[in-house]
Amino acid sequence: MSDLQDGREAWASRLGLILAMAGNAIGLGNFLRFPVQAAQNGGGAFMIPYFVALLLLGIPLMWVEWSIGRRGGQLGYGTAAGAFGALMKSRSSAKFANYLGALGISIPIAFAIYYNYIESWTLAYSVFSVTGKYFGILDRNQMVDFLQSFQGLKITEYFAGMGTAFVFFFITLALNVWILSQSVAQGIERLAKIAMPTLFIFALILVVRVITLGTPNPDLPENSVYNGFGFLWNPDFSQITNAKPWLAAAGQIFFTLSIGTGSILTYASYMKRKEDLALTGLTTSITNEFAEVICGGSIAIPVAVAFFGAAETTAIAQGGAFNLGFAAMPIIFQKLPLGQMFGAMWFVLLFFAGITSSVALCSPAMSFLQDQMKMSRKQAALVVGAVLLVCGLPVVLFLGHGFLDEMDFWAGTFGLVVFAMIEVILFAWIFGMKRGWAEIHEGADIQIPRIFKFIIQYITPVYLIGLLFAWGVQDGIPILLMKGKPEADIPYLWGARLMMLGLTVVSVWLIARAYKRGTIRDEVVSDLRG
Amino acid sequence: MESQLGLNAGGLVFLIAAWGFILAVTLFCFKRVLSTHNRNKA
Repeated sequence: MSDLQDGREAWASRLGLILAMAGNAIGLGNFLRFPVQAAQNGGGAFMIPYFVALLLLGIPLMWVEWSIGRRGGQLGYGTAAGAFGALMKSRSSAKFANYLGALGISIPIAFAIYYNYIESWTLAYSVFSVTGKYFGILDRNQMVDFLQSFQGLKITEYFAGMGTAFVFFFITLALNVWILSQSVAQGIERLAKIAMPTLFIFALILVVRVITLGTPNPDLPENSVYNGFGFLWNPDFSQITNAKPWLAAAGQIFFTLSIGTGSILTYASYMKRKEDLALTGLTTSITNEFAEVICGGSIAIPVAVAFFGAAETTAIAQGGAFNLGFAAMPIIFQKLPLGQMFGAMWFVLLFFAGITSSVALCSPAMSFLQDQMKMSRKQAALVVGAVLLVCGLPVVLFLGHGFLDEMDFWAGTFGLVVFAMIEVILFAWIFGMKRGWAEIHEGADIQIPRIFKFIIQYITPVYLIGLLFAWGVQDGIPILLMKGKPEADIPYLWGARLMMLGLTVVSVWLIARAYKRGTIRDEVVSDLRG
Repeated sequence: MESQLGLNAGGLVFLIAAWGFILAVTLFCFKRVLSTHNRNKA
């Protein structure tokens, strides 16, 4: 493949594309969020709603987003603003769809703003593991104090202020901007070719280490890896008869495959017209599942049960994924021979998972600034870096006031489902499933079973509507009305909302500017054939 | 969660089914990717 394709960049190799797409999907959620969700929602029985969501939501939406992206890329569009319009049949509806595509820029950049900060914790803890900074803290509450004082939520003997957190935040930000400033082949693709194999090697070493642990303390025979796997996998069928695990599974599939972020669309826009997406899309999805179910499910929870026992692991899991990753795991590493090395491997693994995803989340904004605003890659990277810095500061400073959680719900959870629903409706119902099916199979190396044509057209949209409705009732309305939130946090939560609204307004304004410049046109279905 | 029982038969069935499905699809995908890659090269 050439480096440039009609003035736009292209992937240098198919392997590079698969690894970059896998890097986009494989994130912190694979190793921290998945095992906690599984343990809390029925253990092995959680796999039923999980695989149902994978087959009815995840993989179909993956093919839809790849198709929209590859098609948009042929017209010079790397985001939904432009790519959505090309699915429409009339020029007036194309304009509306292109403005709707603003969400495909604002949602991922909002996501990247807070994700970048979480990613910086993994980099910090990689260094703390090598230097042994948290070594000596063997009590879980003290380890939570260590984490919270690092985050600036309290002052302890470990950290006097937020200086260390800021240093790692700035380093992470600078690394992201540097990678984004390189070409697709030299930046994103090269990162994926280094980070993904390293991540899998580290993950497999950790899996082998965990499986061979047996019973670390012979005085406590019930605390074993064997029981840890039981904790995660023994099915509790009573749980899957209610809605909670089904919603949790669908949410996990969205989060883990990076569907609805718009970043898959941007990556696919760098493909050639006749380049296979059916097999390549499936390959990246299953690579992500390998990382999540086989690697992610075999490290944190089994090792936590082996060292803390089932009851305490339940409490840890209920405390959330960060509690497991940043408070429980550092204690475990201290009890292992070569603990500093295994600790560093765990956090470097998380950092690589994080940075390949955060770079992907920034790529829709990068592509828009380059293709539609005609900025150079370096200029675009500096603008994106400035947005991550300015909007990231309140996330760092107001973490204790729920600023990050508020963004996580609206951008990282609700926003993804809304954006995915727009994508599937435009693709299957406006563009048309007959055309859509042909688009997915353009240059395909496999024939997708025809049942998926029906699933994409009917099942996936209905599933998404049901999901939005259930979330709206269960979480959306209480969060929207800020029920149960401390009075002191309310101005900060409004601040987070206004910031996300501001990002969307700026995206709409930029699309209007692109129309004026003539870099977005109301191209419709008939403008791009075969 | 029946954690005190160790990995019971149900858990083992789910673990093997999930791992088996993922490994089988992974092998299928990468085999096809490599074969089409080699075919294109030839």
